[in-house]
Amino acid sequence: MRVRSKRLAAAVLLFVLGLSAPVAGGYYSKNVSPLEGNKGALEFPANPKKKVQPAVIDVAKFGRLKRALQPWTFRIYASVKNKTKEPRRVGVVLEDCPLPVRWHVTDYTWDETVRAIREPLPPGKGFGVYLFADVPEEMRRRPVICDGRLQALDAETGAVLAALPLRIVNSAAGAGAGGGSGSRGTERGARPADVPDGAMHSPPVNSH
Amino acid sequence: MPGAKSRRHLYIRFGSYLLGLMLFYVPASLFVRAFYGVQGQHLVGNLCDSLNLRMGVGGLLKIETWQKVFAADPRSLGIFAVIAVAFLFGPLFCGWVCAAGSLSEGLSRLVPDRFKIDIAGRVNAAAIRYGFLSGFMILPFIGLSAGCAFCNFRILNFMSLGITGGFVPALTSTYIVVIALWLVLGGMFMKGGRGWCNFLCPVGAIQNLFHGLGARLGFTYKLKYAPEKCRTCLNCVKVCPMRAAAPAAEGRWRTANGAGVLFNRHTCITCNDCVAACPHGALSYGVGKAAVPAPAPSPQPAGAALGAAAGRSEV
Repeated sequence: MRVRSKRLAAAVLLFVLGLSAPVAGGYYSKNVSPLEGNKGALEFPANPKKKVQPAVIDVAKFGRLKRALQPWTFRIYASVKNKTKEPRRVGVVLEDCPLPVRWHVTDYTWDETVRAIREPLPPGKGFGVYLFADVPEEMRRRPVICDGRLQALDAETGAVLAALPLRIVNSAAGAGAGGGSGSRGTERGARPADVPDGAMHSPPVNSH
Repeated sequence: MPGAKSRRHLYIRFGSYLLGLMLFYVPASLFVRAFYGVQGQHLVGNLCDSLNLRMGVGGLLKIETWQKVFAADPRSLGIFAVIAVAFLFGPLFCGWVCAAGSLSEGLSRLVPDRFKIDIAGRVNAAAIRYGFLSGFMILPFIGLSAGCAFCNFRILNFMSLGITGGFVPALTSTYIVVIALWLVLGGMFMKGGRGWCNFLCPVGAIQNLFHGLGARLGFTYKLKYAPEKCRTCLNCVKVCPMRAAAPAAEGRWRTANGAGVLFNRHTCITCNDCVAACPHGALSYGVGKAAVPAPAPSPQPAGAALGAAAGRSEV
């Protein structure tokens, strides 16, 4: 009887331990995850009443584990969605953000050489764009590492369909640059002073 | 010869996981392509992009999930399909398809046993995993989520992306925690290499919950034990990646030789490694009764106590 009670008590204790694990994880994730990656939407036609929130990443606010192991790499996700009534061939480009970026686009007709999908995107459908970026050594001490935008383009005409402002900052590098509010390093769309012309558009790398 | 039989079984299981990798992860993600192809889209992605398993478990107590089910939203059906298979055939997804679980199990095989810990073989793993499942399911009601931030399926997808693309994908702190628990502590340095599956996977836990119910019925498939053929060689205990098999104490079974074995269907993933390893044909997988009870004359079933101590029940 005593053994049975002990077993039951142990099982209850282990159950509570198991139950507390995802709760602790949920709190940890709630605190850390928004600081370490960002996501946004590239939906067209854009809703004029809806203000597009910039995707901001502050490398100084990464969690301890990330700072210890991967302090200068991050991931951004954008969902592209065709809300028009006609199929569109869509391209996606990263403007004014001269970082080495790896692209992963979830539409397998994506053509990395022209940064566009080969098949038109049906109405109401979408795809995802993952950008895996590294901050090069020479840019790490800047308050504003990048102040650009991710744009969805009409692949036939080149017209901009939607844009997602993108700001990568290092609030530890200079006062007033952190948190994504107001840039003192570069104005939006401006080219950082020490970046060569050829590096303004992220170079094509792998797509999958 | 049992050795050759075991090896052949392992090769088949490895092939099955490889197929799982090709079906549910980039660059191939064949299932995802087919899943969205019928909807007129050209998408690749990971397991959760099509079957939505982790979030599916997390949303089972939410009304919206059931609304989506009744609206026949294809993504919402994945978790129900996996649960139905588990009820009828056991957690075959874990035992034969889940490349994430097989990766940690495979890594564990590279490390000598003396460097590994055996938590699942010593504590009531079912209590922890069902506790975890309960916590995971109540998270949405307290404004939290641990679905994507701790998703090892997603991490495996990024790893696959990095390996095929030749780069190191950016991780978040939560992903670093997952890798440490899933591949290092729960994989390489845990006996069986299924520490994550045993304690921290809600998808596995919910399958075992339904397998536990289904295995009580005669028409479902399950691991079957014939004590009279068992010689207590404990080969099944040694090979079980989930540590779901344990030696029974004297008096539990009337076996051909020794005390026999107890199996925990709340952690068994029906990988059938034990069936392949059994040289005496005491284990099988099929329909019917899970075990033919042959209680020993001893009035005190001490073996039951041992099995129950680790959350085990007779199959």
